[in-house]
Amino acid sequence: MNNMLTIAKKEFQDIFRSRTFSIILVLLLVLTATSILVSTLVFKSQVSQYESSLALLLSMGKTPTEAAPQLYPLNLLRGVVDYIEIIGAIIGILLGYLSIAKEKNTRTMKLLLSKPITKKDIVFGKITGNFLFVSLTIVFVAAMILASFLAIGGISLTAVDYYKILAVVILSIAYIMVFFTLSFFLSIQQKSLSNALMICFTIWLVFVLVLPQIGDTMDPDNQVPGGFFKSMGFDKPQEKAVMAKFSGYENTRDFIEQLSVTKHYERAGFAIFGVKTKYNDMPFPDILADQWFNIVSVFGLLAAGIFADAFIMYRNREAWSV
Amino acid sequence: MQTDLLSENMSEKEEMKDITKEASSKEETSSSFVLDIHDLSKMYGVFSAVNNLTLQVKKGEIFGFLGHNGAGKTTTINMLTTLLEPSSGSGTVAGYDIVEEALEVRRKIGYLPENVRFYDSMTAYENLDYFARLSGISKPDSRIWDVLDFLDARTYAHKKISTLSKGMRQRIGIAQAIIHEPEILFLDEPTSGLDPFGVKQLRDVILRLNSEKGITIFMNTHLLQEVTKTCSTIGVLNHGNLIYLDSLSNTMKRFRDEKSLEDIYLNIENSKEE
Amino acid sequence: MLSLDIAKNEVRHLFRERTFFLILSVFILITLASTYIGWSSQHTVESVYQQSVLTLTAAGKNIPPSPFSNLPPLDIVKNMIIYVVLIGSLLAITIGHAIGTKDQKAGVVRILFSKPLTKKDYLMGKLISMSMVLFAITGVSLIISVISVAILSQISSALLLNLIEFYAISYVYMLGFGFLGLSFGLMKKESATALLIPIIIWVLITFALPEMGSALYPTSSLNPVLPQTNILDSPMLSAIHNVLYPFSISEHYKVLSSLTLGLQQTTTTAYVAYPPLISLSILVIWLLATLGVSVRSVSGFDISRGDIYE
Repeated sequence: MNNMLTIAKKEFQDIFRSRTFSIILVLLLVLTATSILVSTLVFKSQVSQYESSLALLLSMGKTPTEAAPQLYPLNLLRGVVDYIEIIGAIIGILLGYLSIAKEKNTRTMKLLLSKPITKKDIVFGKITGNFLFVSLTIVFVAAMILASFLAIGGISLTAVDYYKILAVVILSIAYIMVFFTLSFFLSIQQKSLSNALMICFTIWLVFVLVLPQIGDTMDPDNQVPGGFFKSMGFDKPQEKAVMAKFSGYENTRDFIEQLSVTKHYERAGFAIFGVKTKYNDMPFPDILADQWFNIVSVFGLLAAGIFADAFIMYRNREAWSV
Repeated sequence: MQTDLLSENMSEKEEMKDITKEASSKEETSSSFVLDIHDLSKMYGVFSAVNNLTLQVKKGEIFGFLGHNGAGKTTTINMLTTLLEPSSGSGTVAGYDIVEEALEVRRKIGYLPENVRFYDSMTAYENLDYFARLSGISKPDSRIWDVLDFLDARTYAHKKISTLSKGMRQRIGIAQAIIHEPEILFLDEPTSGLDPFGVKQLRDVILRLNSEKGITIFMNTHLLQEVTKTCSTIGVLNHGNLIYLDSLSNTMKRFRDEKSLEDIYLNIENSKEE
Repeated sequence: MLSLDIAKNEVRHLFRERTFFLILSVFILITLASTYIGWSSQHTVESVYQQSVLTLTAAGKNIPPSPFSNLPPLDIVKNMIIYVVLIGSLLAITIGHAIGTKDQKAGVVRILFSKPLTKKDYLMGKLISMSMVLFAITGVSLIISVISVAILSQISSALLLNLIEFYAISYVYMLGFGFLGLSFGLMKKESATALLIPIIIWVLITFALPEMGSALYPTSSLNPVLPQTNILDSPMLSAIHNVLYPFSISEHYKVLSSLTLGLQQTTTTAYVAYPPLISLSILVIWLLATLGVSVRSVSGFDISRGDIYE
């Protein structure tokens, strides 16, 4: 246990010493902040638009038909989920890679193994160290979100909102760690480190960017700006009735999206933050119950990743001398 | 006894200064020097890696450049091979200025870095073909085979570099350095990492390059044995300063009481540091 | 002359790298898939419209004209725009990175420069190989698109010309990223850093600028049919837009590509795009700027350096 903590501590310190890493981190923070800012501005502009059209209607003596836009502050966090999807995955990949690369490059793994410590200590020490770091990063992002809400002003969060943020924080840590375990695995398993990094980025490309995007592209409603069904003047039930006739197509589309851990993370994150409007007024436990499959998928993949890392560490005998 | 040694050291030191001066001011025509540098220095910030190095190497010599790790030997070779620009001083290699005429210098030199490496996924032949073309040989095939024959390495031509032994790689390294028939060959710690058999083979190759092809050789090493068995002249570098320079035979005469070159070397270094 | 030898060696090397083939095959597969996906969703959407018409007729309501009735013939390749932005540019970064770091990884930099080789020749060789490899890949992609469009839709000489124009624009866009990958490969001593910095720039160009300047959510910028945003209504947003839009290279590429493929009616957002000629000039400036970065990187390149860390 002590050995494991020693290794975890060193991992943690090493990350802080890496300059590249700090650049990526700053990037995530800056993008998150900008994203909130832009969302807020968009929202404020919608409100003022509504108000001016309301004033116009009232001056003409008519009654407004459209409800005032309602601010669910967590909606503003859609961009944050987006960025964690993309950059969080890169952070996970880099951490896993660096954790192994530093040992391979300096050939210190043999040195480590010559000490009275087990491979178990090494794997779990490294995972723990990085887990702590990722957690700290995401908690910091969350703190920054709360700070920017304060700075923007006029936004009040309910107790449930805090729970929701906490839930997404935990989910985000798990999501990033899925990519950590992946690149940790490949960095050990592949003989060449740069091959490992390239394969990781290819996987990232396919699972983070391409697969979710294929699903979106195939969505019939996405074919017209503003939504096809809206242009036809359909409401949700009507839309559902029509789409029911295309269940084969819709299932294929859904299946492609489900292949990607990113989509699971995104669906759960969007649901909790109420980006999909139907979740806005749903009680929090119901949202979690509704999203159980996506949440379990993320954590299941993480468990599989940790298992694979331990497995490859035990099985691997020679790769360290590269 | 103690004082005797000390006074002996002192007088030797003075003597050595004269010799260094003498060696560098010999009345030679400049054309007989393949390498001729004056006050060459390299600074890294405030750290001086090489300090006012003045040195001449005659055509046909095998020059052994001695010094322990970090003495500035590789920095010197890097400057002589035009890979690194000196902070001050001047010099010519094969008659060309090492700063102003770097490309001309490169046409005339061969260079084997320490722990030479190649494109691992390519064969020895492919590597040599590439480096020969970069040396300006447009149809290198016959040259490659000649050089491989000279080095007794023909059978390895079509093997991937990654499958070759360290000794074999070193020979391919020499092959790339001599394929364009250079006037002077720079070898940076050529025997490092080789087994005794590999060391002997490489030594033979160096001697044959010198005697059969007439190539001048400038060799960095920290192994004294190497120097006694191959070199005609030695220089000793310590903390970037040249502290000794003479022919091997003179050196042996001067330090005839010392049991081995090792002792001579330590003697020179100690006397300089005191 | 020497630069051609360098270029030849680069190309030969690339084709021996497994990872190069991995990413290349992803790109080729996606080119193949994109036309099919475009075609399949177009068909489904047409059927969805027919079905909606039945529903509307049954309800006795007005039937709006099909928004898909006069889709341009090249509509089915519209996804390629996104795949160039996503995969193509990353592929280019990878190739550039491989070319830029190869000699350092092999540990031959000192040998190379002990030969009569100038830094200029060296850079030229690398730039030529980068441009040639990407040219070949873009060419293959073009051929695949032409064939699949001919099979699934229709082809004419005018459409062929449009496709060629589209791929030419894509080539310029991707080549810029390739030059960046190459430059940082030469500049940085750690391979991971050298790969990471161009990827960060790519993230900024692909996601961050469109979001900051045009209020597009990062994942929305992946959709070829851009959602409507009304950023001009907010003075602050429209001010940010005015400052950032000239630098938002991916948006210029997207707008220009959709114009070339005849898709402009589906891709325009609420903001006013620049005239095509200006967008095109911005793309050319982008290429020149990255070229400038590569020249800078080679002038600072330490030829006495040994191996680099992976």
